[in-house]
Amino acid sequence: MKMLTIDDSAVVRRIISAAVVVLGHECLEAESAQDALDLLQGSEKIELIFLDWNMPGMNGLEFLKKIKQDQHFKHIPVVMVTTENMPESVIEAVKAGVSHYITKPFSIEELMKKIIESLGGEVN
Amino acid sequence: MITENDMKEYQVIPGHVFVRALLESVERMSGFILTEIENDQEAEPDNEIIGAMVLQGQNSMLLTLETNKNSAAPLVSFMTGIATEDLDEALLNDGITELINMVGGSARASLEATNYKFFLSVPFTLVGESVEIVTKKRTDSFIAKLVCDQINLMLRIYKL
Amino acid sequence: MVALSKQEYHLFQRYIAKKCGIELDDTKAYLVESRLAKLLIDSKCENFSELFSLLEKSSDANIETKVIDAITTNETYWFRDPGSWKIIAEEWLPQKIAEIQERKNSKIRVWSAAASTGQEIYSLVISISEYLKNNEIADVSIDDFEFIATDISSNVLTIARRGHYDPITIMRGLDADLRDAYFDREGTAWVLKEVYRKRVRFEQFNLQNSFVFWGKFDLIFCRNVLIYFTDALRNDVFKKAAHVLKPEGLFLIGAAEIYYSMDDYFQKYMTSYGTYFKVKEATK
Repeated sequence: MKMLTIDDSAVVRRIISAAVVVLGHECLEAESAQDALDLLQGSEKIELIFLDWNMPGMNGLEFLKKIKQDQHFKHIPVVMVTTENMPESVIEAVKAGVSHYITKPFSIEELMKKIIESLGGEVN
Repeated sequence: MITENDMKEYQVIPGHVFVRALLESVERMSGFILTEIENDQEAEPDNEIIGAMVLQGQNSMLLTLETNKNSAAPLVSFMTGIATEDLDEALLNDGITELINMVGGSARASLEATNYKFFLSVPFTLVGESVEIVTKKRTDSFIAKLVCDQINLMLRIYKL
Repeated sequence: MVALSKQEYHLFQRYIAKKCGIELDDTKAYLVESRLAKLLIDSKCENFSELFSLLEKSSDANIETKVIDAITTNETYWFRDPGSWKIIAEEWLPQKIAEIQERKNSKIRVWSAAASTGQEIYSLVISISEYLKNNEIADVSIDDFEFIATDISSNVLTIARRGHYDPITIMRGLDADLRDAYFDREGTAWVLKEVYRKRVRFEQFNLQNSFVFWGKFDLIFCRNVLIYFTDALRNDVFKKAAHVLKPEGLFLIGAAEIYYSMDDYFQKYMTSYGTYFKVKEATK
């Protein structure tokens, strides 16, 4: 499967990509929401998105709302990966269509469990 | 709803909240357990990387994390799985910036119902040979030195 | 806002003490708060009281396991506290090897008392194996050592027994040379070779219980776990550990840990690499 990580931090993108690859999939990277939109609108068939919230330019929530209104992309499950940990933020993200949520900081094990869950797998 | 009466009032910068946020962020992301030690002003190595973020609120602060490449390398290496020799400066800087981002984010919830409630802003990095932040004489600040093996970090928070 | 109130902390404190016998001291509220904050999101609870209700009402062992794992699981890596490995190689291993060679000791027994995902005990296995090889010691082998590793969490022990590590976890503290020598590649994972994996006996064990069953040890690791305990439980652990250590046996705690009550049972030795402890004669 091809996945996409959107985060303005190269280190975070690297960590997520590494975890995705460990689980046997491919991971593309986008430094901004705009880059991500360009990538999606290209020919890439993305099946899972990891999305940061606070980014310069278009933020994660805005990006999320945008793709959920687009019939080509609204089916793609989105995992929010963010420092936003207040209940209101989580509720807002879920209302906007996020399917899973992981707060930073996270351990590798936590991240991998979350990826497996997002793919509908059982975590044991 | 948080009322005025529920608000906790700190008389000085609640530095311990940020220290805990840093300890947790570093442990979760890299496995290293930092310990806070006595700050010996004289023996400080020069900083090469300072991660920073402005925290805006009634009591605004500048949150900073000072370190050097030798300390940042094992941290970023353990975080990403990239061997230290394969790390470039951009990744080191980015790693420290992202840590500051996480510290801000973690501390924010803890200080929500206090007079030090704040909003996050965009984190940034100051880089160079012996880079430092110089402030006016009576600027209130909090300082904590945190170490583990060869990692040496200085958490410094300035009242703005 | 998600804050853990004093009352809520006490609820969880009692729950954890009851379920896994870990007595968290009063200063660890922030730890419970941050560890359980993620669970709040995952279980769609709005605050800690809700999470606690869920725990009490739930007949599903899942949420219980998640809470316990969240509190007790810590990150670890290979060869943690570099100084301690130098102490082992210089102050302990040569003596133990001599004891085997002189038939003064039939088995060198080691215990990793907070084993987590296995890196600590496997680091020791690798250390000893490397030492024997590098010093060309032919009459002593890994077979002369017995390795026991325990933890309160069965989940981490499952991971430890498997000896499978992802590419990020494997490189945290482990040189590529050692990795290549002791691990096999299986897809993206690195697996500790069976000949070393099978040397370690992993068991679930609560440090509140009696240590007598385990016999006597030449080395005990008790690192980065005592920090969470109350003074009373810590003292209890020191007392019990002192009684299951052989004379000249080594007791190792985390490099940054300092507990004054250890003086009652242990003699402290400070080296340029760090500190280690042996049992005080009076205790015996």
